[in-house]
Amino acid sequence: MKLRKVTRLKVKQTFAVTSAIAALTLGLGAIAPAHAAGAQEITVWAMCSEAGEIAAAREQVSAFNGYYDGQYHATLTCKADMGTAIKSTSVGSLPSVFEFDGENLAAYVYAGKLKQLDGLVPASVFNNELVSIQAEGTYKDGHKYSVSQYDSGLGLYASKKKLAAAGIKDVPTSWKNAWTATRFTAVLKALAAKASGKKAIDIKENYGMGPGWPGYAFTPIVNSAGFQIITGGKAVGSLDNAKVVAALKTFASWKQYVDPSADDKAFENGRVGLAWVGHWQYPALSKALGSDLTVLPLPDFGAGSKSGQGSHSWAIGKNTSGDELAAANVFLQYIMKDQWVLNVTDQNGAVPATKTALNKSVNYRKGGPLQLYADQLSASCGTSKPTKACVTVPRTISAAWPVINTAFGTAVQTIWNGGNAATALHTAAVTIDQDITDHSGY
Amino acid sequence: MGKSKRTKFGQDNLAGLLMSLPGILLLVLFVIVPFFTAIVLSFFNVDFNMVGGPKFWGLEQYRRILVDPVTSPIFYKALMNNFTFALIVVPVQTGLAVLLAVMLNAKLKGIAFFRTFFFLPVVFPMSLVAIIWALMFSRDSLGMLNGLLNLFSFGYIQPIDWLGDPNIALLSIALLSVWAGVGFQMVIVLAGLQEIPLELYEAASLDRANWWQRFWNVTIPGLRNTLVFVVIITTIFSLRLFDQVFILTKGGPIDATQTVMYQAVTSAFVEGNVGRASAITVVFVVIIICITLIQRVVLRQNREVK
Repeated sequence: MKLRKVTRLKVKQTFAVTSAIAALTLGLGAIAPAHAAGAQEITVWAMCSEAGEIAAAREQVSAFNGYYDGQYHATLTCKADMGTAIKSTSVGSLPSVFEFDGENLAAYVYAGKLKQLDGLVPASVFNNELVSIQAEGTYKDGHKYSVSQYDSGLGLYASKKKLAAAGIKDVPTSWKNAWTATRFTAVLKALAAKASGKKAIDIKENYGMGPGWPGYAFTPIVNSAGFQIITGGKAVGSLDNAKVVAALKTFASWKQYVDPSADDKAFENGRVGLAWVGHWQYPALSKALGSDLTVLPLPDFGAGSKSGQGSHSWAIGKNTSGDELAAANVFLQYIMKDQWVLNVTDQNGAVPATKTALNKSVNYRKGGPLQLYADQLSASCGTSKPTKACVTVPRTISAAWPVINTAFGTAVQTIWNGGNAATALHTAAVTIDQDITDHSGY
Repeated sequence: MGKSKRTKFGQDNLAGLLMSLPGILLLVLFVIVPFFTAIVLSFFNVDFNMVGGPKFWGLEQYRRILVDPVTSPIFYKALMNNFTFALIVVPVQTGLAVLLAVMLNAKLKGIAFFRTFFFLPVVFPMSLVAIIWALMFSRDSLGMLNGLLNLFSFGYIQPIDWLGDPNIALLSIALLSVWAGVGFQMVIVLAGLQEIPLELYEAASLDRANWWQRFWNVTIPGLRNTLVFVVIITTIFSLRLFDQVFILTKGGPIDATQTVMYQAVTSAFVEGNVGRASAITVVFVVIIICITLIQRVVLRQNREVK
């Protein structure tokens, strides 16, 4: 009996506390919308994975709300896994504006999730974008569907001292005189011989050699062999071409010189003299190596050095309309101002994606330490066959990208671990073509 | 008489039905409905990026998974990996669980600490465990396992590519899975041990049975039902292998760690191919039902012999 009383009392207390919390939450909830009474509401989804990007997203949204106080009001939602969020959200439930990984543009347009932006966002905004970004935001119908605040830079980081110590004198000065793959093998050998751990390079094996990282970092090997993953809507004959097979075999032969970099710091801690990685490592590396750090183009597998391009993009949900659409449009133009482009690139180290912001960037302008990345991006191959005249190739702009990314990543992983390169690439190509056929060519 | 019996049955039935309703509802909602949806979806070409709705494909998804010369080998490879993994993990993990449980059943001071300690990995999320083990499995001499082997073999054992060597990768995954999972089985066996009447041990001692004889003739028969449960649950867990593979190897190297679960999940949530994922799931469920039926028959026979 006594016990029961105590229990009941406890239940009562718990109930009281719960209802107090509920009341408090409801109360707070009610206050929030009142903040911007009368203003046109828009919802904004941002990709929140890196600390600097989260901060920048918050800053630009609150600045937007301050600038257009009473007129527009944006509510920011952070998404850790935007790919899954967009994939599993129906068109009607999409936010007014959202950020996404630019590689998925074609898949989203195909799925009818993006609003066409040309005719909406002023042409001056698009014209100010880097060539590479203009290509990234354009679907095969010739229309624009996204704008981007930043682009990515992929290349080699090197320690000048370690190169010199290994007797390497022909250090490339631009993408036009990149090392050939054969020469690169010799460079790796020379560097490894001088290193205490007998390793020469960090290719970020720790990011995972399976689907994902290879789609961005090692697609340039395919391009540098002179091919796109898909040519004329087909991967067979392109991805499994003998030249591509040979290039990836050469790549796999470097495994003996590659530090697996389980701590993510093989280059930063001086175990190796080279790193095959993107712009995002620059802040940490320049801090660790100082003036010893230099940026070089990726090796040339026959059709010139090639590099990746593309990063996060912004788009408007297909069903956004009326006043909400007008507000969303204003929001996109606002965040494409140099001030906000530079605000995010200063925090995440990426390449500013507008020409005006690029010129103001300490790192990327002419004479800056990362000028190579900007040069590479201004020589975009677009969607045509890669030649010696261009460097950056957008990741295949196709709705089949998710499948391409998985199939190619799996093939790279197999080749890297000693599997048969021709079989692996052929299987990948067949898988990709099957997906394209299944979707009536997308 | 028939009438009164029916009424009685009806009353019991109503109370029983009411009490089991939440359970049944959840089962229907989260197991039965999705399963039948999966069967339907597996006959269609349907994915997340679809425009113009799903197209009826009949058995095409099944043909690709089971028959097609280019796309089917990977499914069989995954199935083989699943069975190999189960064949390694079930005996090792069950054996280890019994061993640990017997050791931790000792009446020692502070034994609760050790019990908690061995149970701890079960509490950690697999994603965390996998990331820690990724560091230990690093293929260079800086990896913890390679460093230890090198140290204790006086430099004789060269660094092993734990996750990159197709012959070793699945074993590495099994090793970490056993480490992470054994605590769960251990706790169940521990509970089983405490159910065994002490009189049996006393009687055995009076018969001058030594430790080994007591273990073999009292402990193991006493644990029979517990072990049956542990073996079944471990089999199911090992057939569900996914997290470790997704985080550590992505099915590689050279498909050495592909599993059926991994293919189903990545088909749906990475490639957006719902039709294929559904078909894989349906095939897998059929296989698991067969295994369960076989296990039941085998165990029932054992019971009859006893």
